[in-house]
Amino acid sequence: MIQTGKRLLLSSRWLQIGAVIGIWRLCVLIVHVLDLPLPAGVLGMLLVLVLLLSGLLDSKWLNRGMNCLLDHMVLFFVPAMMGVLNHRELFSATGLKIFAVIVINVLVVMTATFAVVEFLFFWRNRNER
Amino acid sequence: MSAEVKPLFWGAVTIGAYVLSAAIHRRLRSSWTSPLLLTWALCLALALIVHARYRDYLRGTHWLLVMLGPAITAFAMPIYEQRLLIRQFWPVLIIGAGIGSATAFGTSWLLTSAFGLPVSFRLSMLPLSVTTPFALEFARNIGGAKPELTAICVALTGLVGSVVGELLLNWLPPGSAFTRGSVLGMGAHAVGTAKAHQWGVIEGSVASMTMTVTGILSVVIGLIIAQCVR
Repeated sequence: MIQTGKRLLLSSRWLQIGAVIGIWRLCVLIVHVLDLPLPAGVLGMLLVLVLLLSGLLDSKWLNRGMNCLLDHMVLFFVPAMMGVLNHRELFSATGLKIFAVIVINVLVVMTATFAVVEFLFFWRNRNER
Repeated sequence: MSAEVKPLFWGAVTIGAYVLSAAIHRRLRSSWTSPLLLTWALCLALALIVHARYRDYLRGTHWLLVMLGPAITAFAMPIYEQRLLIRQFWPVLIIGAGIGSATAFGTSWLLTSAFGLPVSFRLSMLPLSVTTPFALEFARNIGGAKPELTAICVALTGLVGSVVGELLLNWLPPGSAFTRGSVLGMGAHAVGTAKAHQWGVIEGSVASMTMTVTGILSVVIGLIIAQCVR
């Protein structure tokens, strides 16, 4: 009985996704009770990471479910982006300005990050050897 | 359509559009056919054609939005798998996220001021490069910002960032997998991280770490600004 349950959890990504949702729900509760300035998803991530690193939890119990969630993550952004339906002013001159700010901001931030990280990464890589 | 059918309808439309978009993307493999962009465009087109209200759309798809929480939790896995790399390069990660965040906040403020947008817009658009849950926390703490405007602009940044980021990284000299992950996580937060995850496990784990560090930094910055203003 326990063996079957164990095999089922190991082989089913749906059950593992259910487990991840359960962990997240628990974290929603913790964040609410302790009034933490931290999203529940991030608390869940830190919690699972601590369990995995301490060896209390083997990664095989969650890796199928977690990878499946990550593979289809972009689907979960669509509802938030449909918020433009409520903001018709974004289809105007203001919207155009906002869009320009977003595009320029992305280009500047990404170029700066690229330069800094690429430099530091190779510098540290060389010093380690 | 009856009131009971509508919610089911929009949930089904969104998932159907996603499946279709993913199939198209597999065929064409271009950054313009990113599944997120296509799914959004298809849903938006349909919603505009049938004059759907956002409230009705959201009622059917709210559960998808809620799944972002567990999805963020799931990033524990790639980070765990890349623990040795992260242990070795954590200072690079943190300095990268720090300088990236400073650039993002500064550029956003300068640009919104230069374009003459109202102060409430300038404040709402400060956390552009911060992933939605943290950005909303920031917008709520700082005062004077409009959280729903923050949510839309942050989502747009993710979308623009994941498309532009791919083009930019093709144009810039070829960087390490570590750098590519950091750029996507910094510039396009969760959407970029999802894309980085498709590129490889190093890119994905570095992007999710960068996104998390940036998010935590932004909440700290927000609390400091709120203290100074008060």
